[in-house]
Formats: sequence, structure tokens, C-alpha cells
Amino acid sequence: MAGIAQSRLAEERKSWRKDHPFGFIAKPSKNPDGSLNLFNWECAIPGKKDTIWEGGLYKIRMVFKDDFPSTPPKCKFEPPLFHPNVYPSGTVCLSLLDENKDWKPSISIKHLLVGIQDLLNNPNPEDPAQAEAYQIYCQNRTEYEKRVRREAAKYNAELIQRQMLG
Amino acid sequence: MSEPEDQMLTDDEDDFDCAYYDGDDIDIREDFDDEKCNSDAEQAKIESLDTFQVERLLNESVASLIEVSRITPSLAKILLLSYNWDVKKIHEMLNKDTEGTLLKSGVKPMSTAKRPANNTCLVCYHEDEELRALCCGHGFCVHCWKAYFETRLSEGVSSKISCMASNCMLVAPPEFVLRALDKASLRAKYERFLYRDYVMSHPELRFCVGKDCLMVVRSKETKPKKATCTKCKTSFCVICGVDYHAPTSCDTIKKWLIKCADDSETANYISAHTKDCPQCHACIEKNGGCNHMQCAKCKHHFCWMCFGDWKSHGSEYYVCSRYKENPSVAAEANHVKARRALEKYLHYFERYENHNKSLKMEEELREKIKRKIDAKVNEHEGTWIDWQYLHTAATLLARCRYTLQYTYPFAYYLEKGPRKDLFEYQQGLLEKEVEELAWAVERAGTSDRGALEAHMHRAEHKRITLLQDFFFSPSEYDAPSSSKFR
Repeated sequence: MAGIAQSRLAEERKSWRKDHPFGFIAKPSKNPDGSLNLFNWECAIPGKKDTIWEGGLYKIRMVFKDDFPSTPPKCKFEPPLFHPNVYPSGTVCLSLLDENKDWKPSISIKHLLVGIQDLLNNPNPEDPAQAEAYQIYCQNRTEYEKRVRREAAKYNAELIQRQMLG
Repeated sequence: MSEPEDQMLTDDEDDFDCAYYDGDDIDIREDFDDEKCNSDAEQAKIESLDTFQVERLLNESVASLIEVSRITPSLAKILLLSYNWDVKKIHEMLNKDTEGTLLKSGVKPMSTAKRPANNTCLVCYHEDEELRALCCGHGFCVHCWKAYFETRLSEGVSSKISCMASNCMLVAPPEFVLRALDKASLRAKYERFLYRDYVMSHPELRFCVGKDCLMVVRSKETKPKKATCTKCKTSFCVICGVDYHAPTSCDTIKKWLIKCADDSETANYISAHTKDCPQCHACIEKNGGCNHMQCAKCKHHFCWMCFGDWKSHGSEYYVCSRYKENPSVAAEANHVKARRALEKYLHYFERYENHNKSLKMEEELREKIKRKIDAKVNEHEGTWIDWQYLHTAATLLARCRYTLQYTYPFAYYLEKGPRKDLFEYQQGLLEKEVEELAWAVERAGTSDRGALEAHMHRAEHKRITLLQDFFFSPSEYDAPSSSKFR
């Protein structure tokens, strides 16, 4: 099964380099010896234009298991993000990332990143993952927007891009 | 416990113990046919089915659905599975909205796709000569299908595996899955899981909970009555599948069992070996012989016996005669409440557990009674048949004790008030009768049969009174239809 995962991830990388949505970053991490680790990707998702998330670029790590793509990768914001559907550990709670819900083997990394970008501005109050962001989101929308804008400023797109792409 | 019971019990306290520990019980599963007239209300109306009979039952539903909807049997099964085998409801839904019903249950594809011209599998991105697709047309290579099915299977999913394309909810029919799986062991596992899903989704079917028993129990009961598997003789609650638990409801017994599993041992230990620091209320375990305690947390010095400040003991040799003289230390503080809650729980748990232990000694008593009967017959004291009433008495005793055991979780969760008082009064009466009966059965050789039968009659009568409320009155005990066990 690892065979399918390995070749699929190599193809994902090829297709990403050929074409990917604007502002997004996705690249396999490097092993200490300089080789690529296809099972561990460093990605970044830009906040959508005209939303409170705009201007930020949010780093997220994708970890794949041997049985990928039968199972979805684990997606984790690093550092953890202030968002109702992000666990305190940074892990994203999204039906698309749940093999018992909407995950399908044919979903690509591109597809996933766009899905998570969409989640940023459309939190799902049915599935809260952290208390802080969820409570503020429900109780005080102005405060919530203020906090999100602060996140966007903290993870300024240009800054992060320089960090990641060197 | 309420007063009446205490009074009732004091009389026979000595006998109480010996009756309990000499193994004065027998298996309630046996012989219940003989006793049918007494316990009809408790027995669920059931039918035991083997695998073959279950398949036949399911296939009848499939056949009746095929007649109207003109779909293949395996698709009909998918449809039945998503609507809990309610053929009538599916008929109605198909009449109203054939298309929508089929779409929603994953029988018909939302959209169909043409096969990619270059034969690339969209999962591994490799070209393959032969791509396989469900009727939605989303083609993927055999290796990817196989890997996908194996993964889903390892997660215990079998009946609702959908197409690998994103947003395609079309369910893969069994023959498609079986064709992709190449190992016989996996195919067997898939079919086993599928069968499990069929049975569990059927509202009238429940697997027998007996160890390694493959029987399925069919019942339309809505109350938590007792089902007994005809093959392995295991008894269980027909609704939730745990040990039969009248007069406690399914929800309550679940709560109780979880509570017992969680903290009975810990609670016992805390109660037996620890006390709370009189100053900071930290829970303290005494680890040495000295009664001069110093709290590790707040460094308070106190006396283990009287809870007073150690300073008041002076420098003389320890003599504390003031045991618990000062109970008003932080009288209603939270930790006191917690202790009290613990004591309450232990009170009920000990009694529940005690009856349970007594029941487990059933085999021993059976043997004893058998030997006793043999001895009597050998001595020409009556015939074998004459002595059978001893067996009946033992059966009845076990049944009463069993009910008594399950009155404790019920009483634990019952709110204070006249209803609880009444219940505990009746419970006390039953306790008394059970212990008298135990005493009588134990000594049946010398006491006369008439007296024993009078005991039996009274005990059963008290038991039925206790259960009356449970089976004949309110619907509040009715188990929610969704509480089917897994």
C-alpha cells in the first residue's frame, strides 16, 4: 500500500509544481540528509480576499500515513490557529478530513487546502474544537473579528512567505 | 436505607449471612419454563433464529421490495439498510419520490462521469488498461479499489463504502467489493461485517450476547424484558442487551454499570484508607502507624483519630479518647458532600454486589440439593418426585435475589420522596422474604414442605409487587427505540 501512497504523493508534487492556486504554498519537507520526505508536507494557506482573514498566510503541516489515499492526511496549523474548528493542538476539524465523513481517495492536496481556506471564513459551530475561539465567536462577534484580524497581522503574508520560501 | 428494611432484617441477621455465603442460589435461566405462569410479564416474546433463518427473513424483505421498485437484490439491500428494513416506509417513499429516495440512499449516482480518455486512475495518477467503475462511471484502477476497500474494512466499515470520487455518495454493492478483494480471508471478513450491519440495522433483530453464540433474537418488545437464547440459554435484556435488569431501566442500568466499572474499587479504597485533612481537605492516605499526621500539602499537624490540632494533644504519650468528637469541622463543605455521596454510592453498591456474589454460588447449591435429594430417596424418605419442590424453591430464590440485586441501582438513582420511600419499603419486604426463604431452603430437610411453600409464595408475591410498577404502569420506562445495543 505504501507503494500507492509514495507514487501518488510524487504525482501530487508534480501536479502542484505545474499549477496551483495563487498565494498557496505546498512542498514536501526535507529530511536531515537533504532528501525529500513525501509523507510530510509544509503548506501555507492565504486568508481569502475581502474577509477578516485577508493579509495573513497560515502555516499548516500535512502528515500522510502509509495507507494514503485510503485515509486522509492529518492537517495541523503550526502554530495552532485561533479558529472555532481548530483544536488547541492545531489539528483541523473538517468533514473533508474525516474518512468516515467526506474524505475520498480522489481528493487532492490542492482540493484540501482550498477546502481549509474556505473553512477559515466559514466556521462550523456544530463542531467546535477549541473553547476560546468558539465562545468568542458565539458571544461577541466584534471581539472575534478583532482577534482574527490580529492573527492575520501576526502571520503577515509577506513575512511568512519569506520565511518559507527563503 | 429506609427504616422498615432495617427492622425487617434484624431478626434474621445471622441466617442472612450463612444463607448468602453457603451458595444458596441457583441459575435463574434453568427451569424457567416450569415457572412460566409467574414470570410471564417479565419474559419478552422472542423467536431465536440461526444465520440461515435470518438470511431468509432478510431475503423476504428484499423480495417484496424488488417487486415494486425493480432494482437488483443487492441494491435493494442497500436501500433497506439505510431505512432500517422498513419495507412499508420505503414503498411510500419510492411512490412519492423514486429518484430522490434512490439518490439519498446511495443506490443511484448523483452524477455520472465519462471515463477519462487516457485511462488515468485519479487516485494513483497512473495509467491503467482496465479501470473499474460503479454505475456512476468514476473509474479507478483495481489496485486503488482494493487498497481502499481493505482500509475501510480494517476500520470495520462494510455496508456503506461509497465511490472514491469526491462528492459521489454512490454505495459500492457487495459483488463489486468482493470482486476487488483478492484474499479469501478478507472476503469472508467483509461478508461477516455485512451480515452484522444487516442484523444491527433491523429493528426487530438482536444478536444473542452469549459467548460465541451466533443466534439472533427476533422480538417486537418495546419494554426491557428478559430474552433467553434458545441455544446457549443466555438471558439478557431484549432492548439493550446487558443482563436483564428489571426494575431498573436501560438508561439507568447503563449509567450504573459505567459508574461501577469506573470507580467501585477506587471508591472502596478511598473510603477505607483515606481521610481528608481538616485544614485543606486534601485526601490523605495513612502510610504509617503513627496517629500524629502532617498534611503533605498544607503542613497542618493533626490527629488521625480525632481530627483535632495535634498541639492540643500536648507532649504526653498519645491517648486520644475524643474520636470524631468534632464533626462540625467545615460541616457542609464540598468535600463533606463528596464523602457523603461516596458513602451513598457504596451503600447501594455493596448490596448490589453482595446479591451478585450470592448468585454466583448457584452451582454449589444445586449440587447440594441434588445430594440431599439422593440421600433422602436412598433412605426411603419419599420419592424423587416428592422432593422436586426443593429445586423449584431454589429456582425461585435465585429469581427473587436477582430482582433484588437490580433494585439497588434503581433505588440509587431514585429521587428522595414518597415514591422512593415506598419503593424502599417494598424492597425491604422482599429482602426479608428472600432471607427467610434462603434460610428455609437451606434447612428444608427438617422444616416441612408446607412452610417452605408458604415462604415461596410470599417471596414471589413481594417480587411481583415490586415489578408491578415497572411493567404495568408508566411509559417512562419505555426504552427509547434508538437504544439498540451494538
